[in-house]
Amino acid sequence: MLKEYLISYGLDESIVNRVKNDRYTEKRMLEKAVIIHVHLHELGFSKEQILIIINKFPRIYWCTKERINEKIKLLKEFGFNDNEVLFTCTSNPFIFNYSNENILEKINYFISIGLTKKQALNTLCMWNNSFFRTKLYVENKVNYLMSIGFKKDAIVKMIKTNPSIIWNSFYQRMEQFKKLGYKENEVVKMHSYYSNLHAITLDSIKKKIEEIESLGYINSEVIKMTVSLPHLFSYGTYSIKEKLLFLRTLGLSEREVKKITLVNTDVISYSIETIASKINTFKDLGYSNEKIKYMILDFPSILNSSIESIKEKILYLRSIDLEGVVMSSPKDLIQSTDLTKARYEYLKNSGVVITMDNYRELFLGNDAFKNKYGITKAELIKLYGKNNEVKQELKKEGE
Amino acid sequence: MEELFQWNLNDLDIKEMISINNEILNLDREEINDIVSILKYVNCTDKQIRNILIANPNYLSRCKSDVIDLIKKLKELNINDLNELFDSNPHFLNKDVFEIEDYIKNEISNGKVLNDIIDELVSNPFIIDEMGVL
Repeated sequence: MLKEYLISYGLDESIVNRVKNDRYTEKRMLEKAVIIHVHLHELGFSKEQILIIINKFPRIYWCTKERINEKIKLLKEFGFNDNEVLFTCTSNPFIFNYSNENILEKINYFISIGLTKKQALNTLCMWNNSFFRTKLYVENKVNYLMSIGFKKDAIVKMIKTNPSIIWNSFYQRMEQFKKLGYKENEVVKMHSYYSNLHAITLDSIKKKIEEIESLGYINSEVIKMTVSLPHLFSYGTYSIKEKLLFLRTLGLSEREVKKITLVNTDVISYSIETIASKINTFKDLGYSNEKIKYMILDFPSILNSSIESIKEKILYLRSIDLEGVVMSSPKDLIQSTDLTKARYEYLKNSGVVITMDNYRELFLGNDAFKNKYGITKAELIKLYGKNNEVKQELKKEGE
Repeated sequence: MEELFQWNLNDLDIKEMISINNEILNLDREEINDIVSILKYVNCTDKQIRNILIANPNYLSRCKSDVIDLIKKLKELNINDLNELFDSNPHFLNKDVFEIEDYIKNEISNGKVLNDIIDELVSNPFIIDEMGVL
């Protein structure tokens, strides 16, 4: 009778053996099954959700209505709305099997390390085996992560992104990353920086490394690039290839593109439109493809600077007849316009005329400038910084 | 995410930032304010903050404690104009302390003295990434 009823409800024959309980007669078990089905329906679960719950946790039939209600109440007290309650119970019906004390002990621990109540409950409910684990297990997991260099806020961030970090073995993951050639602190950095990384399987990581190698990089280069930008593991290989090919359209050779992406891996994170718009800014300022190519090669990270900032620097240099610096030494564009302006004004007032023959004076290291001209950067900015210019203008107007 | 608008970023900027770092979509107000407040702490102007966020949207996903440790390390090395350093190379903010230490160790083993290494680092904040690339 029980078997026929469960099958007619939509369950598999195999579930019947998992449902049986020596404490109950078949007749009693049938009554309980009907009660539970009706009760779950009344609580708002769809038939599809009920079937998922029973398949995952057939012992739901052994639970009382009161126990089920108690868990629903707990979830609502923690801020879950009706839909979230249904989703959570369907995802992890094992919640019905455990006492509130057992659940609260772990939740309170998660809250103590920085998760909100809702995030803590989510962490517990989104993983099938989570309720079997003790608070000590969770505590040991967090302590292990901290012992290898993760900071508490990084752990919280990873848990929020994907709670599997707590329920899976990170020790094994670390060992596998080391076998791939990464150092321990690099593995910690990559996972802290890109919190979704731990959700990417080791097989996918290995595959991605091979795919990037197939684009012309050697293993140590892939390691350097992925430590700098771990998000690479989630980029499509086709998309990476497309960006490399786009850089080639600027007239750069394969080797040159490789150099650029090794120095400035972040360029791969930009869309082709963003890179193109930066290049167009240089074109609008009158630079040819050949010149742009030279600038990027000498200073690959020029592509990371904001367009406004680069434009401001070039226009200032143009205004003082030193635009040649852009081609002679693109790297000097790193220096802030404020400092370049302050040094230029200071030297001019000291009688030093700056031309393309001696422009290096403007871009000396801070110590070298101080040693040669006896003025610190802070003093220069104070004397010739933007605010000071305004003050001087106001003073002139007053006179 | 609305917090980003206060840095003079427009819809297009934010769209572009999300295309680089889609984790931005999951960040709440407190997380964004927390990580940006570090930039204010090192005296970045509003303009510099805008530049940094546009050029390096991944910064928003950095852990606050890692960035604070990085700043402590740089101050320990007597690098004080951090707003300019980060404005020159916004991606410097994605470095961990061990990367700075490894770089310095490597340069010292090549015969350089600490003051020169630091001066070079300040003059060219991209130097760490250039290391070992021909």
